[in-house]
Formats: sequence, C-alpha cells, structure tokens
Amino acid sequence: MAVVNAGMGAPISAHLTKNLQGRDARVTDLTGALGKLDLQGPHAANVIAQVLKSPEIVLAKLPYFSFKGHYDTQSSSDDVMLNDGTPVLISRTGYTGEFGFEIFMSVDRLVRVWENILSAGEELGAIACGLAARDSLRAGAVLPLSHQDIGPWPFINHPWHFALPFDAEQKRFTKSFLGDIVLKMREQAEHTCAFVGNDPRKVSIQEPAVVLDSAGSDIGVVTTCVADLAIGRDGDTIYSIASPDRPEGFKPRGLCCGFVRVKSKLPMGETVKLKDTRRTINVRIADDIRPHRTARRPLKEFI
Amino acid sequence: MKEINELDLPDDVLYSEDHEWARLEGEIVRVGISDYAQDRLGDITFIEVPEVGDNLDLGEEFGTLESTKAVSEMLMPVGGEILAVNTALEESPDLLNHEPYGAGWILEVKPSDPDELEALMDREAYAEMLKGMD
Repeated sequence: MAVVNAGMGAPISAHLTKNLQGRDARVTDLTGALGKLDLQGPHAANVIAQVLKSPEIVLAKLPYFSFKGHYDTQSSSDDVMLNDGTPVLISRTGYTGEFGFEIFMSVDRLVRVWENILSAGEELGAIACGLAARDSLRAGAVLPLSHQDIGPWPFINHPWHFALPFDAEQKRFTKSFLGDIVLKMREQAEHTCAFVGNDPRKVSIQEPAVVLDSAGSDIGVVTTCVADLAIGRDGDTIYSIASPDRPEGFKPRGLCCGFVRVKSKLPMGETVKLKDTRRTINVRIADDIRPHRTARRPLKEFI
Repeated sequence: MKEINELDLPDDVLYSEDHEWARLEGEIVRVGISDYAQDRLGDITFIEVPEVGDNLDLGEEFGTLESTKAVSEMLMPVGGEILAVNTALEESPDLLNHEPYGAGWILEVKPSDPDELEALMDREAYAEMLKGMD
C-alpha cells in the first residue's frame, strides 16, 4: 500500500498503472474508499488500547514501520478490529517523527472511529490537531513534503559515499562505472536541504522567500518554513521537550525550521540567510533538527 | 476561535481598526493587541518590538507578531515616542494570549498628538466592526 499526499492518489495511481508493463500486478486507487487517521504522541498506545477489541494481541510485536490487520471486512482478522467491530489496519508509522499509529478503515466508519478515539483519549489529553501542528512536527523531524520539498531533484544525499570511488575531496570519481554519469548530474543539480534557525521567526514561502549565501547571492528558494515549538536552543545545542539531558527548567521557545531548494549541495552547518519581503533571518543547514524523537522507540516503553 | 460575544472587550481602552488597543494613563498611552487579534492569531511564539526612544507615526508598523499560524504586523494606534516596551514578552510571548489587556501589554508611548486618540473606537463601535467582519 502506498500512502500518498492528499490529492495525489489519482496521478500516482496513473503513474503506477502506466509502468506496470506486463507485470503480474494490479493498481487500485483507494482514495474514495479508504479513511485514515493518525494517533501520535506518548499516550497513543494507551489510547488505542481502549478502543481495540484485542489490544494485547495487536500491540504485541508491532515494531516501527510494521502493521497488522486490514481495512476490508472480508479480509480482516478477528484480532485486529475495534470494540465496535470495525476492521482496521494499524500501522506503527506517522508523519510527525514521534511515537504513534496510522489507522486505516473503510471511509464510512471514519467519523465514528474518530469520535471514539477522541472520547477514549480525553483523559489522557488527546486533542484534534490541524495541518499546521502536523507541518511543524514533520519539518522538525526532517520529513520533506512530496511535490513541495522534494521532487525530481536530490534530497540531501544518496547513501553510497562509502562505496563509490570518490577522490580525496569527495567531489569527483577516480574511475568510470555504470551510473556515474547520473550521479555526476545529481551532484550538479538542485538539492533540497533541511535548515534550522535561532528562534521561532519564520519567512513566508508564498512570496516565495529566497536563500542567500554569505556573499548575498540568490542560491535558491524556501519550500517549507515553520516553527517547531517543542525545541529550543541552549547555546549551540538544540534540545526538545523529550530530551533526557535537557537543562533544568528548560522551556522551549520554538525554532524556525524547514527546507530549502538550492542550486547546489550545501555543507552541513553552513549558515545561509532566508529573505522575504518582511525580514531576513539566519539559519543553518542541518542533517537533523528535533533531537530525541520517539517514533522508533519500542512500543513497550509507552504502555 | 471565540465567537464575537465571547470576546473580552474591556471599556477602559480604545481600539484601532487593526486590532490594537490604546489606554490613556496620565500623559502616556499603553498599547497592546485586542482579544480578537490574539484569538485569531493563535498561539503567539515571538514578538518584535521597536527600541525605546524610537519615534513612530500614527499607523506606522511598530513590530511583528509571530504565531503558529501566521506573521502579523502591528500598527501604531497613536503616533509618538516609545517610552517603554514590555520586556517580559521576550521570554513569555504567551502573555499576549492569556492577558492581552494586562501583563501582555506591548508598548508605552508619549503621544505626539493626543487628539489622534479620538479617531479610535470605543468598545461598542469596535464590537460592531467585528460583527461586520465575521
């Protein structure tokens, strides 16, 4: 199952269908049939346990990026359904970088499931979150948004530096190999890089804001700029509200963060300026932003 | 968001069309943003204010408010010299959300022309304007 950005179901379904090329596979666009809600945060397991028919079975051996169950009544398992009999597919994933679940069900059950979960989670502080909250969390978790932050250009790096025949400066290859031309082109193409600022002040991506290097040259555009309010700086170090080593009395003021698309790859830690019609802010290119994220931590720590 | 009839609109301040308030206290004017403004902005995370001693005209931008939803400019409800800024907002910008007319005040101004205050709205006129906006 491919879970794509809202509105992209039809184009991506068409793309996959076009590339089937005789393979023994079938592409079905479930956009109109499938409902999905995300339950994210440290109490997610305790909340979902209250609405599951068999929480002890579903929540056992459910590591990060695994799933159980099915949203289709005919394919569902008796073990993976809600108290009211709604079959669900439960996935240990999300778009926040934090511990939680994505829950899939037939779209006609979505409102009822939403209301049941909010009701069950009321005492644990479950609240409905809007797109801005989700956007700040995913940016702090360095999760780019398809067709906004990432597209047909490289995102940060490919993972093969250790294996490729780079020269000492890591800029050229010392010999030819299959695919080297493509990689050379990628190194010269536009890149998406994450950044983090020094306070919550943002620039607008609607205008759009431009990226300036230390010489003041225009080197790209800002594609996402939000404030992650769960993080703050103490000197040069970024802490989050989940950091076990956060300073005593730590109260995050939030940091601006997001993504830029620049004309060539920028080194980590490089300071650039983001400029819109209102202001210019200094930010640093970063390979990570919000520390001590919880998404990958074992489920047993949250029950 | 609050309904108009749920807003806190005290009658000891005057309101601008841009949702700042001004309270005459002796010869100085204390300035902040209205309950309507803070409610529509959402959680305010950062504020930029002018320097003490700056002279700004009526309607001139005196700073920006950063919230989780947006960035918004603040405009002077009366022109004059900035006598004080509320430094507590640097560490606790949430005061603007919780006490917009009290601890969340923003500036104190020595008005260059106190008659400019007469162009501002009282509680009833401001509430009427808000009804026409929502």
